[in-house]
Amino acid sequence: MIVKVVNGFDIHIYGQVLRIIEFDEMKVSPDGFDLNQLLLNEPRGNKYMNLLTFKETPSLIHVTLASVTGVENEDILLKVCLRALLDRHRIKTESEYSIKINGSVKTFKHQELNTTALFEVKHNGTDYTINHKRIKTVETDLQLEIHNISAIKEEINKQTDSNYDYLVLEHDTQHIAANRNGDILAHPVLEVLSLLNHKFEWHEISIFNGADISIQDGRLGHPYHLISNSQFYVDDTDIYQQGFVIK
Amino acid sequence: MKYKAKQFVTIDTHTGGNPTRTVLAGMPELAGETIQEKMMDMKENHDHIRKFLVYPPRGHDISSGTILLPPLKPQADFSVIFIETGGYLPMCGHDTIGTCTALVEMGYVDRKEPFTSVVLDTPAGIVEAECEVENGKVQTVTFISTDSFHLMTVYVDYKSHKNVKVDIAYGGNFYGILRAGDLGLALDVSESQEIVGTSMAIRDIINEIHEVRHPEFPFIDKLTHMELYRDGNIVKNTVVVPPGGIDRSPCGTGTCAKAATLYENGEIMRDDVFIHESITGSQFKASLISSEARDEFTYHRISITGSAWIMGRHDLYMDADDPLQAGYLLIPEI
Repeated sequence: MIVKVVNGFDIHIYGQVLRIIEFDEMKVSPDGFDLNQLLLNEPRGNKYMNLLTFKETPSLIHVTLASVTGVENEDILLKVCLRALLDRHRIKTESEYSIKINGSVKTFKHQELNTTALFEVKHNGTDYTINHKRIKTVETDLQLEIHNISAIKEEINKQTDSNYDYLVLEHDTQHIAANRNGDILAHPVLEVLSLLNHKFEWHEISIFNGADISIQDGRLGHPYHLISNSQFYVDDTDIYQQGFVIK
Repeated sequence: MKYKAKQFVTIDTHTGGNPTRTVLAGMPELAGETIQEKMMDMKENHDHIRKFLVYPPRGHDISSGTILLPPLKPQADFSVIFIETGGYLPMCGHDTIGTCTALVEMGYVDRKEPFTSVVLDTPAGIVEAECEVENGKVQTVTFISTDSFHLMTVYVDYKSHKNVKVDIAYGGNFYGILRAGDLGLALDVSESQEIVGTSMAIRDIINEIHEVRHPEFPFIDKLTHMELYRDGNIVKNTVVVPPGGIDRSPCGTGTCAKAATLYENGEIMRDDVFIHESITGSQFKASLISSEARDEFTYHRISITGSAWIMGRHDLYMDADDPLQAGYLLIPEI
């Protein structure tokens, strides 16, 4: 029978999914169940999911952020979370907000919650370093479109190199990014957008998932869209106590 | 929150790991008098809703669901349309188990113990599901398959693998059934990308060389699904569903095709029970309950028993300002 209910909501930013849940909702788990894993992994989550939990204290918002394939665009996800909590009147409007995550405190100004500056790009001859991440770029003859996905995956597998954080395939005005494991990143990644803006002076960029990005004055605007308000249920007879991951 | 958005209310379940999004509210009026006509109207005029409900960012590669409608036939509790990332299905086993579990546990049908019957009007015809209920919880759901049969056995060369035996059988879809070890593959989630790529390549080879056609419904004329297995008392399997994803459950219709193949090979008889286990460890129980020879094939009715669990209730918002309202899919559409 259903023994646990967790309230939360999902949003997306250009297709990048963020599930937001108050820490107190997750404080008590049914015996044997790992709520963090359950809400991130299949069947409740999936390989695309980013799970954010938060707890508000008088001076800080404590946040955890996790993803199966690694968290991209961390600052954007944190800002958008703040924006969504403000829109839902869950937190009060302040001039700035301090978030404690992974032992560090990050502070975001209220007027900068909707946009984020691109990173500085360092060209190292054959590759690029952006936000301490190494990016390899490869020009390809492949049309970077969904109908070519099998060939694109083969090319990514051929070019993937664990010395780099991201691989970017380029073809004409198209691009596609993959992480160091060769997973295609269907949503935009700020480091990759910084590279494309620097290298090609692109200000309008189409993303593989169909989203169109606009860069103005060196900043990326990142509106969010509400996917759902949700109640997640845990049945104590469920055969999956942590869920599973299939890429 | 965007209150101008259109809302869809769903109950989400998983059947042995495979998700079902049962849509309770939010659908527009679909044209047609029958569930088949309403499915066609959804396909032709409202397909963006399917994509909205099952594609990322609201779903993932193998998300599926049912559109629940008031009964269009007097004997039915509900009429249903089956949707998935690949399109529309006339019948789906894991979705039937998931939706019936949700309907019984959430009280949308009159719950009786120890058994509650749920009758669904599907595009494939009436499906009667028997739900075993204990203390309000659905323990198992059993339904009877459509006519399932073994069509033929073919042999395929793929890369260094020569003369690989593939049984082609029908259980609601056509399945190419082959031993994973014959391709050097293990049925492990870590090999899922290779399993999908190899399976789809072999399927395409078979469709190029062989005619795969239902003898009584000739419009069903392609091998669409592949099923890799490992021998054992409990048969471990994984089904690769179009356009290219791994079924997390043992697959209801795939289990029916497997049962027909086991019968063809003399490995099961009438009333025998066999257990089919998915790549994620979930199990379906199958039993061959009747067989009938017609023309050159033997058609079987198979009972499938499986379990589902409710995962959540969602209010999904369709916002006209959302550029990804219809989602996206990193798999070519078929």
